[in-house]
Amino acid sequence: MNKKLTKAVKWIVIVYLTIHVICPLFALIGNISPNEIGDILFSPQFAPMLKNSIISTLVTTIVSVSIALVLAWCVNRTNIKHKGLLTVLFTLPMLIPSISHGMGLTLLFGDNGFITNLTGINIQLFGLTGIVIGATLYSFPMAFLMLTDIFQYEDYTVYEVAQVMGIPKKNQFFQITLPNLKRPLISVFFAVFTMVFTDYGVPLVVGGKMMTLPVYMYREVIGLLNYSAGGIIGIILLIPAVLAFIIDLMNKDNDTTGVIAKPFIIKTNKRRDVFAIIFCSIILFLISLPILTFIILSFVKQYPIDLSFTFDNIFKSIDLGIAGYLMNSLFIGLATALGGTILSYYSAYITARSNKTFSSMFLHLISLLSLSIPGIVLGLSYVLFFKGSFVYGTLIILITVNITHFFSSPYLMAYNSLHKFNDNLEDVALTLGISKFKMLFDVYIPCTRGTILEMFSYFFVNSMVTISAISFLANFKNMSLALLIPQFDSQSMIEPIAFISIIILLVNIFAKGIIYGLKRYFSKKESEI
Amino acid sequence: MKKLFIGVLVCLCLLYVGISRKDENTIVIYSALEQYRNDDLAEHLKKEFPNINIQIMYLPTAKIAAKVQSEKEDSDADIVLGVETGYLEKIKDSLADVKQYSKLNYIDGIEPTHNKYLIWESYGAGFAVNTKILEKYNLEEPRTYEDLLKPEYKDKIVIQDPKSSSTGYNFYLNLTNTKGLNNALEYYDQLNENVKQYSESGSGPVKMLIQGECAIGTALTYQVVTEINNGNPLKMIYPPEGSPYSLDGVSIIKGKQNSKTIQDIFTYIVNDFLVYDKEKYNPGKILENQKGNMVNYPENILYADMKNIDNLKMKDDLLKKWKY
Repeated sequence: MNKKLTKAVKWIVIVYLTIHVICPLFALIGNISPNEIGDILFSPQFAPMLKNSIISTLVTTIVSVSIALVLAWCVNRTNIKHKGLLTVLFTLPMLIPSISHGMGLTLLFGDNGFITNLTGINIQLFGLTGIVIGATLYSFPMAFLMLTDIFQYEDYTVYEVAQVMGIPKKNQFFQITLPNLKRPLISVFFAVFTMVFTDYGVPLVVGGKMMTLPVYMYREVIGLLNYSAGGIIGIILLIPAVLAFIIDLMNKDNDTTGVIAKPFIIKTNKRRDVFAIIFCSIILFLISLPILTFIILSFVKQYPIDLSFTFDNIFKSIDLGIAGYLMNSLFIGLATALGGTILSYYSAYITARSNKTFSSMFLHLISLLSLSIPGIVLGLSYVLFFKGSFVYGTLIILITVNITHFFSSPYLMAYNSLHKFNDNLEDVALTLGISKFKMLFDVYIPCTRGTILEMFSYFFVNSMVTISAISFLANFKNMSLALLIPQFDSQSMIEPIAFISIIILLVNIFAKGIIYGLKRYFSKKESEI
Repeated sequence: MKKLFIGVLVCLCLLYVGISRKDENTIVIYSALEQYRNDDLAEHLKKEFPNINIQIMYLPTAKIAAKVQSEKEDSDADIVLGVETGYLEKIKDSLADVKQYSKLNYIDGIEPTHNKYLIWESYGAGFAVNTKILEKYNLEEPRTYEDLLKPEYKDKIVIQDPKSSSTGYNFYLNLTNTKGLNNALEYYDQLNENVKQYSESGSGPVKMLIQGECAIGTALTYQVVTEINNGNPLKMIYPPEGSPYSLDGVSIIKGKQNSKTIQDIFTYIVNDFLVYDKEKYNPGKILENQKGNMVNYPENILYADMKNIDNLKMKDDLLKKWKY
């Protein structure tokens, strides 16, 4: 009976993911009208849009990954203090929607921005410069986290050998560190490229007349409901993501590392540490600028003509029904986090802790696939597949689309944690007559509480800031707080945008704080035992 | 862990109760009017209908039309307001008969030939400039469309995207009428050199001018005058071709007219509030005996050639040819 139940649950998960990941993509492809493909691809604006997208994404990716690499090195390979706090602070830009970064930059570096007026230097923000700075701001934290993870698992033994052999530091970096980082760097590069290539938030605000493919798709679909044009652009946006997915799979197949023989020992080097402190301080200063601007802007009368202090923006935002949108956001965020964590954890449990059957391999592949579908493409696919069904226009579809959108990363967190347990654990349980469910609830879940809390936090924070997938599916009654930002941006209402960004940031910091507290509580409890 | 799970579930239930309570009996108005007018309408409706939860959601005019066209009678909107008449014609099959709710006398020839919507306002546009920013860069005021092509205005101009804004389309149509399509497209190619941003909404350029991000924009007269009266350093200039203009309207989504509450709200909006709104915010003439209280509103405006404004096919064709 128990075996049957396990099998049934496994198939429910597979069917659910097939309906929510694979079917919408087929709907997207099926909806494209063949006549329009030529119209769009050979239209006068297509080539410039493609060029704009590729150039801005490429430059951003190089800048973003380079900054992230130096930061990850500063945090993991130097003796600077407060590394934990710095890691948290560097990820702050992830806690507000990408579109807010664009707005913050306008206020600082626009023609009439605070810094432009203060220094007299105009960086000509609108266009490539704006997209690169804005997109770097929101994409480097992800690259930083991925690279930090890689640095933490680097084996020190090779460096010890190099030292014994008298290989100079510089050569160690080029001959050990860089080759070690080569494969992960390719993954990080593609992850950032995909993220930036498919984002419309930053270019919408600071792109100026530099139209990119996602902005075009957003305007065609959201503005004119031209689903076919959206579908064609959506397929193009999928290309780098699919490439990244394939390269990532190949990378993993060839992965020979993984067992850390010895953690890295950081030697004393004052000059290196001073450089790290200066670099980290500059980045922290730059990150904090837009956030500080939002705080100031939330409390001024009308920027830039009347900068006197007021609570009007807060009262006005309350009048605009911000509390209701916040409730929607919290409900969507919590439900996504709860449903997403259960589903991704259970999927990882099936794939990591059972025999490699066809169904479990298939489940593993779908679970990873969702990582490569950009939110904007996923949202449109959902419109096309679920339109007319009972879930369309409800909160349920917003929750399911978020679960799909953010599924892969928490899935991988759980998969990696569950994979670490001894392979023979199931056999021992079988011999002792312990059921699979009992193992799950009494062994795996209690032992991976930290991972589960991180998964929950990942789903929640991302649901709070996302404006991509849900922008196609939300309506007035179920709209989230973050979606008010593009809404107000179309009327250039900057004060409410600043206030909303701050609320989202505070909610996310609060959520992260609770997760941090719970993790500490559980680890303290464990150490007491 | 179990306690945590239960805690999250309890939070979800509480939030759900809050959300569903908010949804009950909420009347939704999609409005393409500016936020300050929507705020004023919300305040009036709150006074007039204190027991009814009425939510006004701003959306650009094309977005409202696109949403209604897609969702039809299932739309979560009950009333649509300030939607350009060209778009209303496109979605008229999804609108209720509403003529009977109006008690006002419109000027001759302005009303639609059917009962699917009522005229809300007439709006003309022109060039708006931020005099302080012009001064800052030592620039002269533009007088003609050709002036806008001068190299000194590079990255100083903001105009609307005709695909999402009817104001942007009105300029595009007027230039097509006066210069011919090819010349109009060529003109926009040259203008693109000086354009800093194509705004999604009609009011976007005014906001960018106020922020000082641009010196020149295309904008609606009443919006610019409102901001001048608020103390912003803006000025309205009309090109010799005249002020491009069009009408927008108000209606009820088909099927929603059966609700007495919606009928009452709509009747109030299209009579009392319409008169108030015209007096206070947009003196563009649509009614017999219409009064206007807006100071600084220009007189004797020369209006532009807007032939084919109701030609939906031509609109589709023109928008397909739009590059930016």
